[in-house]
Amino acid sequence: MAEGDKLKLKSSQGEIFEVDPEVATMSTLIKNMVEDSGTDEEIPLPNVKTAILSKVIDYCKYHKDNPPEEIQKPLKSTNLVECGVSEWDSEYVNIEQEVLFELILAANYLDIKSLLDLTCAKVASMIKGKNTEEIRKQFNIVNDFTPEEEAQVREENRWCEDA
Amino acid sequence: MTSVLPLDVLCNCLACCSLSERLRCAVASRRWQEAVLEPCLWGSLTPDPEDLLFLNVLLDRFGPSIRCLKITGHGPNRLGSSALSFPQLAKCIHLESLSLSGFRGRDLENFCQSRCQMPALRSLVIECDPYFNLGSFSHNTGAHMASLPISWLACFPNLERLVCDYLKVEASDTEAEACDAETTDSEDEVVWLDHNADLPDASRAASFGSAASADAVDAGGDGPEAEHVEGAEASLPRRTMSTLELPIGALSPHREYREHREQREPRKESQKVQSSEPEQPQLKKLRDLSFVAVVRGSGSTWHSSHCRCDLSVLAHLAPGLEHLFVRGPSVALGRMSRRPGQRIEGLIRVSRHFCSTGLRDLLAVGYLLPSLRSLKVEVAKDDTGHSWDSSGSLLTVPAASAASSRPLHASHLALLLGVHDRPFLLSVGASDVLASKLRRTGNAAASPASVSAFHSFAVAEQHLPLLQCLQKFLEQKDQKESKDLQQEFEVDIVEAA
Repeated sequence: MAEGDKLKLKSSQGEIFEVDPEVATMSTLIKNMVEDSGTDEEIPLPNVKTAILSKVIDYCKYHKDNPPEEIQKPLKSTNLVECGVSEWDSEYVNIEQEVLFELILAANYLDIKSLLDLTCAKVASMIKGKNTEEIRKQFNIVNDFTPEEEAQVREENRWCEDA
Repeated sequence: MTSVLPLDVLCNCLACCSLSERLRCAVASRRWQEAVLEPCLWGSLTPDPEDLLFLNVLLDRFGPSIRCLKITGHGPNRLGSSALSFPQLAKCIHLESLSLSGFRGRDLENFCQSRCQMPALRSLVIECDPYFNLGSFSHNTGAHMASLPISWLACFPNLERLVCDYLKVEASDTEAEACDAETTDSEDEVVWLDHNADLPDASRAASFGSAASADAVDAGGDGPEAEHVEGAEASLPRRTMSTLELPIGALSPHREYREHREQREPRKESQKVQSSEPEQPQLKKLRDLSFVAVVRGSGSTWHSSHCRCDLSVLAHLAPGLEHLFVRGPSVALGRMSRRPGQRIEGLIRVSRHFCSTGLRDLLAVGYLLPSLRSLKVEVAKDDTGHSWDSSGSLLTVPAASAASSRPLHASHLALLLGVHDRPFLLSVGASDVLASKLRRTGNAAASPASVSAFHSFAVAEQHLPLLQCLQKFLEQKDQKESKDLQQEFEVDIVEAA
């Protein structure tokens, strides 16, 4: 690949994104593919939709020259900015839950650790301060315990409900 | 909706949650419960203060998964209290790294009363709340609050790294009393180095080191060791070296010396009974130690035989030590006597000066710890009243150009430390912790205090005046030592004010 050439990333819906190699190779998956095949051809990303790939590229473009900060764990606040996340990142993950989960899956598939950490931290911030019922409601979790099982699990974790 | 997330991603989300939040999630559904119970989530644990209330439950459930545990004692859940005791930690059978901080009062003493084996532990960090009190006319080392009994360390036979404050040598009560009554080094505990002693090159350093040590043991100069030294000297170029003395106490772990001394000065029967110390454990795998001092008896007087950097104890405890950091004690600044208008920087300066490590305690460190490769001293002083640190004039970072510096392999300092036979890193000065304290005071002039580092003992020619300070060891130390220090301290307060 000649210097200055751009990588072509193909979303699951067939759309092509032309991206600087430095930006695209923030993804370990893409980096390995480029190193292995050195291809000038488009790189298929069948697990990432167009809208999500566009958002991932936005993240990589921004962080190419702005390395993300370390996120403090466990989160001390529901406000990510207070946990070491930059304003830009905090605003970036301020999105609908469905999109957030797709972004998590894309970050996991593309192997972009900092993006995965950011999106997971966002999920954790949505858990923070909530009791079990509120957590179920937040993420539409179906309680599949039998009443007996649930009673036992609650008893095991009774102390943390009080905390 | 979370059902679309793989289990490892769900675990990644839970890793950002506090311990109680994780367990609340476990009640949400079977899948969330499965994620919460994943061992990878419990490998490294740093409980929040509110989690400490239930730490016992956590350790019961997840103890075997925990590899790294960091606990800060808090309020009613102080370390050493009935709510949080050492046997509870033994449930973590695979624990490799343990960090405990927030000990105060008798917490540590209580905590160390229980014993159980933790063979997997590699790293142990014990941090106490500030314990050293400096007053205008007195001081209290706080040894009763921050001492780790050496015998307790037998619980960790595979320990490789230890960070603590005081290491306490346990002795019988009678010996402790004797120790408390004891004065500082006596006259017969020094040995004189020949002022024309040869300075060995690196290739001969090891043999010279052992010979010098033996020579120190056999101060009379008789015997085959003395002949060996003379033979070695004959083949080496001679260089003038000032008369210096080494405290034999620093070399005393050698059994030969003890036997020799007992033969020379047979003790009374009662004294022999008093001197029978309990067998102390040996941490053969310990490579990295950060500590303040070794204490005996009450250990109430700083820089006395009850509370000092006693290398002979370290040599017995950890003969394979490679990295040693001698810190100053944690000073309770809030309890210091403070003159009206005196600034916090002044107090810090006073405490740093008073609590600095005496150079005489470090002599022959290389002989006692043959594997030692680096020595870091938070603030050292030459035992004559001058602290040498990054802001001092005695030691500074060596000049960049090779022309203005020369290797100290064959110099007095390396010889006196007994490290002339190896590549060595000596670092002396203000610690990062201290520098950050200074920064917090907002005094730009005092920060950041950089550390003077001497890689492989490269030292600039102009820094050799340090030797002049070493020569001041010729002045005999006596019972007035602590009184003299007290006077320095008082003078320093006036200066700081």
